Amino acid sequence: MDNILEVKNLSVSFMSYIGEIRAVRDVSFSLKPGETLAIVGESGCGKTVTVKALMRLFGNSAAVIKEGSQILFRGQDIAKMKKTDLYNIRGSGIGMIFQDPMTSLNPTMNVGDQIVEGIRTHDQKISRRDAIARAVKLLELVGIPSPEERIKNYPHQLSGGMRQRVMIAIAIACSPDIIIADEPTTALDVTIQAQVLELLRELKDKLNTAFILVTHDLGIVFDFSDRIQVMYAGRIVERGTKHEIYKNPVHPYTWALLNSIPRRGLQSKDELYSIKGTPPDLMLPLESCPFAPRCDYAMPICKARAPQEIALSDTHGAACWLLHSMAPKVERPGTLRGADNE
Amino acid sequence: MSENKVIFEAKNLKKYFPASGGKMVRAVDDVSFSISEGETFGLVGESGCGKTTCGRMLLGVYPPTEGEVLYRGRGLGTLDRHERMDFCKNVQMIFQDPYACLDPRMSIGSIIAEGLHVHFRLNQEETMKRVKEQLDRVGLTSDYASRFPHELSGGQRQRVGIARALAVEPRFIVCDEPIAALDVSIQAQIVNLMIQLQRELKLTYLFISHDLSMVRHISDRIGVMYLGSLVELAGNVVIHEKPLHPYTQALFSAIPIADPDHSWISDRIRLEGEIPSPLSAPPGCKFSSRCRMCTEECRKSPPPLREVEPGHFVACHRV
Ligand SMILES: Nc1ncnc2c1ncn2[C@@H]1O[C@H](COP(=O)(O)OP(=O)(O)OP(=O)(O)O)[C@@H](O)[C@H]1O
Ligand SMILES: Nc1ncnc2c1ncn2[C@@H]1O[C@H](COP(=O)(O)OP(=O)(O)OP(=O)(O)O)[C@@H](O)[C@H]1O
Ligand SMILES: [Mg+2]
Ligand SMILES: [Mg+2]
Repeated sequence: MDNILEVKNLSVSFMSYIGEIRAVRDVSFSLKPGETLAIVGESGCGKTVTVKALMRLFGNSAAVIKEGSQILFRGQDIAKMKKTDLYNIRGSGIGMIFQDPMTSLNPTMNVGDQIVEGIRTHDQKISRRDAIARAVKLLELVGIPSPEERIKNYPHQLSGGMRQRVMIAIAIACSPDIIIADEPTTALDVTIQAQVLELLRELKDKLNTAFILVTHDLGIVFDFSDRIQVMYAGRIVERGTKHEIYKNPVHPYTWALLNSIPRRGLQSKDELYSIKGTPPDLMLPLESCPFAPRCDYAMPICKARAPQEIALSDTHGAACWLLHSMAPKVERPGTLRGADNE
Repeated sequence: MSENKVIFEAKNLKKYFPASGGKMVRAVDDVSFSISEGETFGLVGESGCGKTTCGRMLLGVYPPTEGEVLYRGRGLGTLDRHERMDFCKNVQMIFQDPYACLDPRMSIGSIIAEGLHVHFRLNQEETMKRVKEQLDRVGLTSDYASRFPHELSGGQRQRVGIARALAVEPRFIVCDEPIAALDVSIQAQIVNLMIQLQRELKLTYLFISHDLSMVRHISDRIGVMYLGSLVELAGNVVIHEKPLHPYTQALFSAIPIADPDHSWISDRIRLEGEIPSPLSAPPGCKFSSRCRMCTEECRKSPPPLREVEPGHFVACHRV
């Protein structure tokens, strides 16, 4: 099947008064219809900036998509597209569930009108009354009780999880081909979360919707997604199917990340494992492996040159000097729960 | 625990918000609990069940419609000016929506310094030093002091909210989803920090979160809310291993498990039936419309919260 989205050499920087912040550094990936790609990684590693770049949603911030970046949606380059064409893609081509509901919902408009507005910009023929009926139906789908009352509420009158579900309703309103979901369920309790994920899965089965899912919850990642992409300091350091990442992770950052999942059997208030060291400085150019200062396996070469991605299968690859044919063989930590350790 | 002083006591708290057509949103509907010094009280429950509203009433942000909050035995309304200042310093909140609570025109440094100026008389240099210490604690470098909220990632903003709350050295913190936007490693770092501060300084927390494993890890006791009411209350281990209320059982069956070969999404206990609304709650047990064990009695009379074992409270006719 053809890729619906192809991202090639995407780099995004913020030109700030302290210098250039290189938030996304030469990232390439693709997405097929009906497929779910999860992006995981440390807080601040560039997940949100990557997915916002896909729709050029930077508002008036000083973000620059660097020369040479390509974002091909059905073959058309979003990076170079005219504003009007871009506007047509937003909503009905690509829908977005944002990480911060409070900033993306309009505080001065009731949530019903906001959903209706979304529906009507992409379907000019629909009557207002039908659009309102649709809005009520959508709120019901995301599990909000008394939807016909709730459409009259302003965002501040809703709980955190209700606001998040309003955003999900807006994103799915126009049945887009791709839904980008940035931490879509952080404010939901586990039962409603499962219900919402099931709803999204239904969309995928019925309409072949593709998903890009950004989340810190590895429980969701391993259940909901097909492929996983691990980011560190604006780069993809490892990618693979969920089974490859679970059973055979190869990058030391992936190991550290998987090791941070709290283990069962831990006593209350015991110290939890966390990755030592400070997060990388995104102002620095990429001359070495950004994880090297925190890596237990770092070699002299890691601090001198940045590793290139090495393919391990059609779907699995990682950027780490340990994969070089001349590198010493190291064993991955025995504490990883799913890994096949000999 | 028993010799410990009670810091907060919530007595029959109710909060009703007016809705259109003369209806009322019964966000919190007769909730009582107390929190002792040095303990972590976890609060979990369905989205929209009233957790944030409870936290805000403890802080005096929302006046209760009925009932009262006692802080060290005193009603919040009876504090004099001096006591009020003391309350503002000692009782802090980490907000659920990190962006909405950070002033977009202020730099991160001044956001964290604000409380320091009000409560401690520090000079410029000492203030900067404190700000840097706070940033470092939450895993941010001192460069972030000169940045603005919109220039940060979701998790970085959340950590600024944590740093701001910790900066004034409070005694009690309402933590409303404090780690929801953080990756697992930084979650661990923050939770370790909170536990360490609690050990060293005897801090007290109300910890609101949807992450049930983390709530279990950090809390001493856990309360489960459903549609404005407390339906179960017990020690952290008991509630995980021996939940009695059917809502608690369903909730704890849906904890995500990081394993591609087991689908927690499909294996969970499903809640069927109509989802009730705080605008028109059922007259009897609020969970009755979705409960598999529901009887006539459940539909008619609301079950009281009663102690079924020492320290284990549950509101269900069928237990
Ligand atoms: N407007 C901006 N100006 C300057 N720097 C920014 C801006 N927006 C984001 N950044 C920086 O870019 C980096 C990547 O941010 P991004 O929001 O993509 O992180 P993230 O991976 O989504 O993290 P989180 O999991 O915490 O949401 C961060 O270090 C952040 O500080
Ligand atoms: N300012 C307000 N005006 C009107 N209704 C409100 C207001 N604040 C909260 N509510 C209502 O009170 C109820 C409880 O909301 P609350 O924010 O306490 O829930 P919560 O348990 O924190 O949920 P979540 O887990 O989704 O954050 C909801 O029905 C909400 O719509
Ligand atoms: Mg983000
Ligand atoms: Mg809340």
